[in-house]
Amino acid sequence: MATTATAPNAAGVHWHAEDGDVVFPGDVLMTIPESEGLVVRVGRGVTRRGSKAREHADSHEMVALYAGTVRVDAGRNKVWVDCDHAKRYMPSVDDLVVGVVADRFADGYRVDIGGAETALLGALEFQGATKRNRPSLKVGDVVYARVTVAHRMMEPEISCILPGSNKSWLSGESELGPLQSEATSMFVDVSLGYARYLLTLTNGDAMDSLNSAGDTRSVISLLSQKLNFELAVGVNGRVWIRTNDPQHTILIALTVQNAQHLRIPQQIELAQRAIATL
Amino acid sequence: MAVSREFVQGALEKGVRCDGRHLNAARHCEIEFGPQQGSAMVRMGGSIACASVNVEAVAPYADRPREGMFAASVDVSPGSCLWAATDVVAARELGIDMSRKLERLLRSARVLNNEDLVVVAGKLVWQVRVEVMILEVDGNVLDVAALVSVAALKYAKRPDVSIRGESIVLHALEEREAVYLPVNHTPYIVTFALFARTALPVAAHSSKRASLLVLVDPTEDEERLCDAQLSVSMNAFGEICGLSKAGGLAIDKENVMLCTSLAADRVRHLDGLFKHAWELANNGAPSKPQFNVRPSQVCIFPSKVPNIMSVPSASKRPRSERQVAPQAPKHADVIQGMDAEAQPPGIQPSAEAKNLSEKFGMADVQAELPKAAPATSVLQSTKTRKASGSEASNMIDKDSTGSSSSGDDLTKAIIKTKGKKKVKR
Amino acid sequence: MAPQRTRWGAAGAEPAVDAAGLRMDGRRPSEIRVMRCVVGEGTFSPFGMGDDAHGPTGSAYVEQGRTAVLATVYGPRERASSSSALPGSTGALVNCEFAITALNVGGAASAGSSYTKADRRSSEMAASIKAAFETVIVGDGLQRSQIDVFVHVLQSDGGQLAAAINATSLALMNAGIPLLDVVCACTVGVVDAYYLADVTALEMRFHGAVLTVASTPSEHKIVLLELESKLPNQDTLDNALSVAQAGCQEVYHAIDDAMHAYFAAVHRAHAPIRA
Repeated sequence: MATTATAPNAAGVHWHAEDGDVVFPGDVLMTIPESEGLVVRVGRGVTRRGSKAREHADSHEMVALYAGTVRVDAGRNKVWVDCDHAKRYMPSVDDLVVGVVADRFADGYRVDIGGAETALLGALEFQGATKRNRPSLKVGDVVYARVTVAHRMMEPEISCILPGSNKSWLSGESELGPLQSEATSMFVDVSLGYARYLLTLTNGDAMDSLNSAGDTRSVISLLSQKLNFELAVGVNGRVWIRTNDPQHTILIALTVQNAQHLRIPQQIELAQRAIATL
Repeated sequence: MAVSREFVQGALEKGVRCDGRHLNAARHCEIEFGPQQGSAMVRMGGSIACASVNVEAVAPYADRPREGMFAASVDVSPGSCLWAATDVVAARELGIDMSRKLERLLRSARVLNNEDLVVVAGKLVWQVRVEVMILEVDGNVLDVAALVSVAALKYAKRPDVSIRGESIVLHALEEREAVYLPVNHTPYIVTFALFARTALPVAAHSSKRASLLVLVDPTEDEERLCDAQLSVSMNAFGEICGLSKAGGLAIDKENVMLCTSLAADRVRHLDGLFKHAWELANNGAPSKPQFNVRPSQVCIFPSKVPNIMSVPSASKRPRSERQVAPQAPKHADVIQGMDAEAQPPGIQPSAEAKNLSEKFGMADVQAELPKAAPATSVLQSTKTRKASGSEASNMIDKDSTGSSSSGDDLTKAIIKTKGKKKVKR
Repeated sequence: MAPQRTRWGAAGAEPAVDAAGLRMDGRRPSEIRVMRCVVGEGTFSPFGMGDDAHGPTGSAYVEQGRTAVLATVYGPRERASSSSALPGSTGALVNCEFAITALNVGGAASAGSSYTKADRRSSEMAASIKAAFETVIVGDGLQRSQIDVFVHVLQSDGGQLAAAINATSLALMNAGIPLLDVVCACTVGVVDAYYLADVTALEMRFHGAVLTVASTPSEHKIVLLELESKLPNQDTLDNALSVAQAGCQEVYHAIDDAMHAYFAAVHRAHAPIRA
C-alpha cells in the first residue's frame, strides 16, 4: 500500500481531509501522486480505492472505511480513522481484553471476548503455571488477558502471560489472569473508544503523572480518592470493577459507564456527585 | 453489564440493584398514543413495544352470533436484543407465550366485552385484533406489552354504523366521525422478580416475609437470575384482574398479598401516566409525523445520554447551532468522539441516569430537567433543527400519583409527547 | 348449545349458593368434590400397560367430580440428543405434554373453540405443569436426564389444571422421582362474595373469578398461581387464597390416602415373596 523509499516527500501527498474531520465510508482522504520515494503510513479504517478491482489498480486515492473521525499526522504522512462509537470489538494482537469463560475443555478454555468469535485460552497460558499447578476456571469466570493471535483465517487466541513480568498467578499479583469473580465484582460494557481512553488513564505512567500534577480530571482518579477498588479495562469495551461492597461496585460501575457520553467537566461533576453520596 | 447471581444477591441484601435502583423503584416509563388511531408505544427503561389495533366488520361465528371477536398477538422482533437475534426460535416462543398471557388477561378481565362488539346479531360483528411488536427487550416485557396493548385499544376507533331498514351502513370517516371501542377499563400488569434472601435451596428456609426480596420492574439480568416471578394484573380501581406465578420458588400467602399491595401502588402510578398521556394525545394535534423508534438506530450516537449532567451553558445555545454530525474535537480536554456537544439535543435521560440521579439525591437536577432538555425526539430534533427555536417544551415532570404512600419510591416519570409539533421540511 | 345458554348463561337464573347454603351439586361452599385416585398399575394406561420395559415408570388417574385426568411419567432417562444439556443447567429436564381428549362431558370448557385454540391452551397448561414441578423435582444426579410427563384430560368439568397437577404429583411419586414436596392444587371460584372451592364448569358460568393455586401442603407455600377474571379487592384475594389452600390440604389428604392404599396393595402383593 505504500511505496518504500528513503526520504519522505511531504509535499507530494494531496490531502482531502484534515485531522478531526468527520468522514463517511468511501470519502477520499488523500491522493498520492505518481512519484517515487514517498512513504505513506495508513492505519485502520483506510484503504486504497478499488484495491481489489483490477481496473482501479492505478488508483491513488485513499478512502475511509468507517464513519468516524480522521486522524492525520501530515508531517509523517500518517492517517487512520477512529471509530470511537463502535461497540463491536475486532481482536488485534497485544490488545488487553476482559473475557468471560464460555466453555472449558481438557487443555484450555473458550473465552468470550466480545468479538465475532470466541478466543482460545490455553490451560497453561498463565504466568508461572505448570501442568500440575495451574488455575482452574469455571464457565462464567472473568479473565484479563492479552490477545496473542488475531488473524482473519484463525480463531483468536489469548494469553494471561505478560512478557517482561514474572509475577505468578498464584500470588494474585500478576497483571493478567483470572479476575477474582467474587460476589462483589461486576463488569459493564462501554464503547470501544471510551475503553481505550480509560486504558490510557489507568495505564500506570499516565496515572502517576495525573496524580503528581494534582490533576483530578478523570472519573477514575476522582473515585479512587474516596474508594478502594480494583478496575480492569479491556479494549474490547468491558470494564471490570471490584470493591468490598457491592453498593460501591455498582456506584463505580454506573458512574464509569454513564460518564462515557459526557464531556470532561461533566464527567468530573458526575464523579463528584457520586462521591457525595457516600 | 454482566453480573453473577452472588453479586446481585449481595447487592440486593444491601437494598440496591445493579442499575442503582432501590428494590421497589421502577424504571422510567413513557406512554405515547398514536401516531394513528389505534396505535401506541410504550417504553419502560430499555424495553420498547408498539401496538396497533385492527378493527374489521365481519360475519360472526355461526355458533356465537351475539359475540364479536377479539385476538391479541405479540411478536418479538429478532432485532430487539442480542439473544433474540441469535436465537430466533426462542424469540418466537417468547412471543407466543406472551400472546397467550396477554390474550388471557384481556379476555378474562373483559377489557372488551365480546357482546359489545356486535353490530347486528348474527349478521355483522366487529373483529378486533391487537398486534404488539416488542422492539427492544430489556426485561419486564410482559408489563410493557400489556400496557401498550391496552393503550392501543383505548385509542382505537371503529367506523360509525347506522342501520337503515335491512341495510347496515358503515360510515366513511369523512361522513361521520369514528367512535372509540367500548373499552371497559384499563388493567395493568405488574411483574415482580422474587429472590430468596439466601441462596439456600427452596425448602431450607422457613421464616416468612423476611425471606423474600421483591423487585419491581425487573431488568433482563434480574429476570434471568431470580428465583420466581409473579405477575399481578390490576386496574385503577384496585380490582385484581389476573395473577400468574408459574412455578419457581414457593412463596407464602403473605408474600402474595405483599406483592398485590406493591402492585396497587405501581398501578396508581401507571394509571397517572396513562391518563396524562391520554390527555395530551387528545388535546394535541391529531397525529404525529413519525414514530420515534429506537434512537440508537436513527442516530449514530448511543441513546443513553444522561442529560442530567448537561451544563446550562451548553443547553442554552440555540438549537440551530447544534450539530447532529459529530464535531471534530478541537480542544485538548475533549475525549475523542466523546464530545457531548455532538450529541443530538434533547435526548431523554436514560433510566440509569435517572436512577443514578435519584440515588445520588440529585433532586435539583430533576427539577431543572424540562428547561435543560426540551423533550423532542432525536429524529424530530434533527429535522426541526432549523424550523423553530420557539417550540414549547412539552415535557411534563410528573410526580408519582401515589405521593402519600410508597408511590414515592417509584421512579418519577416524565411523559413526553410530540403531538403538538408540526414539522416543516 | 343455544338452550343451554338460555338456561345457564345468565348468572342469577339459579343462585350459586341456595338459601340452605348449598351449591348446585349439594356441596358446601368450601367443600371440594369427591376425589378418586388410582395410582400405578391399576390405571388404565393407553401406553403398554404392565410392560415394565416400555410402559411408564409412574402413572396415576385422578377423578375430581366429573373431571378425570390421567398422568403418566416416563423417565428419568437419558436426554434426547436434540435437547443436550445446557452448560449451566442443574437438574433434570422436565418435558410435559397435555392433551384434552374428545370425550369431554363438561362441554362448557371447550365448546365452540377451534382446534388451534384448544391446542394453544394445551401448551399453556403443559407449560404451567412443567413450571410447577421443575421446582420440586430434586435435580441432583439427574443433570443429563429428562423426565417426560404426559397428561390426558379424559373428562372435563372444571379445574382441569388443578386435577392435572394432582395427577402428576401422584404419578411422579409412583415413579419414585425424588421430590422436595408434594404439589397439590385446587381451584376457587369467587361468585357474589361466595368462595366456591373446586368449581365445576357449571359454576364457572356465573362469570366469577377463578383462582387456581398449587401449594406445598407441608409448608403452605404457593408454587403456582393463576387468576382469571376480576377480583374486586385484595381482601377478596386474601380470602380466596385461604380457601384455596384449605382445598389443597383436602386434596393432600386424598392423595395421601391414595398413596397409602397403593402401598398397602403393593405390600400385599409382595408379601408372599418376603415371607
